[in-house]
Amino acid sequence: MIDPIWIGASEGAAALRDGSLTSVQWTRALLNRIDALDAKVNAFILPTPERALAAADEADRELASGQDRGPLHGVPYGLKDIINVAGLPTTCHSKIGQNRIAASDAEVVRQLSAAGAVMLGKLSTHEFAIGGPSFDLPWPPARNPWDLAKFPGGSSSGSGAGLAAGFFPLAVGTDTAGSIRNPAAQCGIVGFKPTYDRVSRAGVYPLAWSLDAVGPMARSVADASVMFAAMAGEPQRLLLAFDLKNVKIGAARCWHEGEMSGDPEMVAAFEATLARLADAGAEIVTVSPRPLEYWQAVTRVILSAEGFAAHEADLASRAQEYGRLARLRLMAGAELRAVDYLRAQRHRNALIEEWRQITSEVDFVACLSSLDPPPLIDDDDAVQRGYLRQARAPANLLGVPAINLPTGFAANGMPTSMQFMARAFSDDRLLDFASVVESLIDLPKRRPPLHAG
Amino acid sequence: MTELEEAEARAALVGVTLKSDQVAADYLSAVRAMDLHVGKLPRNLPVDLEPATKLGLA
Repeated sequence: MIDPIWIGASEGAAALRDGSLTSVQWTRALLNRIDALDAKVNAFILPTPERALAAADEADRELASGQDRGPLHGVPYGLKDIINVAGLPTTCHSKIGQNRIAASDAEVVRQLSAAGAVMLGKLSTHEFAIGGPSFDLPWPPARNPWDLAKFPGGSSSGSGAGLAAGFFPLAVGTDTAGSIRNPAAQCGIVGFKPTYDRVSRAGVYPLAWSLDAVGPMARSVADASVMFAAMAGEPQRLLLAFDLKNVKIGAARCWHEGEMSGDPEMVAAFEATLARLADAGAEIVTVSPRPLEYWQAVTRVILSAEGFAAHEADLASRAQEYGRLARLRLMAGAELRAVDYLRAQRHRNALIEEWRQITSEVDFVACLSSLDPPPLIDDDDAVQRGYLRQARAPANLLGVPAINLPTGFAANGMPTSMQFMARAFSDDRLLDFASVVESLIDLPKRRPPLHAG
Repeated sequence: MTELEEAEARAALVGVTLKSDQVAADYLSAVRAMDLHVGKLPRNLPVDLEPATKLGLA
């Protein structure tokens, strides 16, 4: 008996074709669960049940008539609400955006529609992908399904929380300094940031043009891989077998040892995964990139300059209408000088060159994603500290692909995770490798403790 | 000059109008925090080190 709540995209696609499930049945089951539970999780800004059921019905009719658009045909997904869908508001989780109706679909939405995917609605985010978790906005922040008192990560909060809650098997996120991989880490799912511009940013509200990336989030690497190909408008492919005996992995332990030490359970899960990889034949070596504090200073200057530029007109006249956190983070760029921005971009170039040296000697770099488990959502200090204690921003500065993989659960029941980074444009190879890692980890089959009422 | 007056004067230079004391306080807090990040980036870079332009090519 198929459980339409927890099946993945790949398993569901097979069920749609062997007649054991229809897209309408799948979509309706998920909409019922969202209706029952989202008041607790707050993953959605705007569920779109009528649109979803209409799209699901069309997918069923097309499949019945022999028209097969591929592995996402009839598969439900959620969309971060900084991405345009024609006729719907792109709120960006902000009072500023709540009445801005999109005239046309973002390119990534167009690609997913062409692949037959069924959008269930628009998902909560940090305000303009930067200000959160916030309690002074028109909608509440998403919460972590593993413990509703905890932070689900951000800024693609609704994408991560909704996947962990069983609201959809796939979601679209965006990632400027880790905003796909952070909620993936905190919610125990897979989050993939592709190489810069592999997925179109057209129709996605910008935060920082030179750092932004659009990518898939899922509960398995296989599902993320299928969604990535569709989002990028590329041909679908099977994940390839990967011989670990030819793989050299650089462990960036310096990012969670020394001045910034990682949580012991996160580190233990990281080391256990590397040990499994070594047992399977991979060579593990140590790499020593610059300290995270330096990467983060470069990122903050670039992000703040570009973010202020993107919001300059609204901040000039409507600053009081932003939530406090978004206002604080966006106005930070107001007085940056051109020379500050250029100096940060020069430091970035030096980091790119250093990284090229490191990755000329290893196939992948392994590191923690978050250094800590999820904090309480209303503990401002702990949440803000978490943004400094993460190793995700380097992939945005470099433009390289990176993936967050769940590694298990801590003693308190919250997910642990780690990250792999690769060379630019080796997205497919990273996904192939991540699928092997996923099989070695053999994650316990757990569901978050969510109950209606 | 009070802190709020300083905030308003500085914000006006970059075209931002601060319409409440809270927004003014946030403005000062934000730009001062950014000064810390800028201060972490050394200025003595080789003159032939150009700004990054080839994103994704690392």
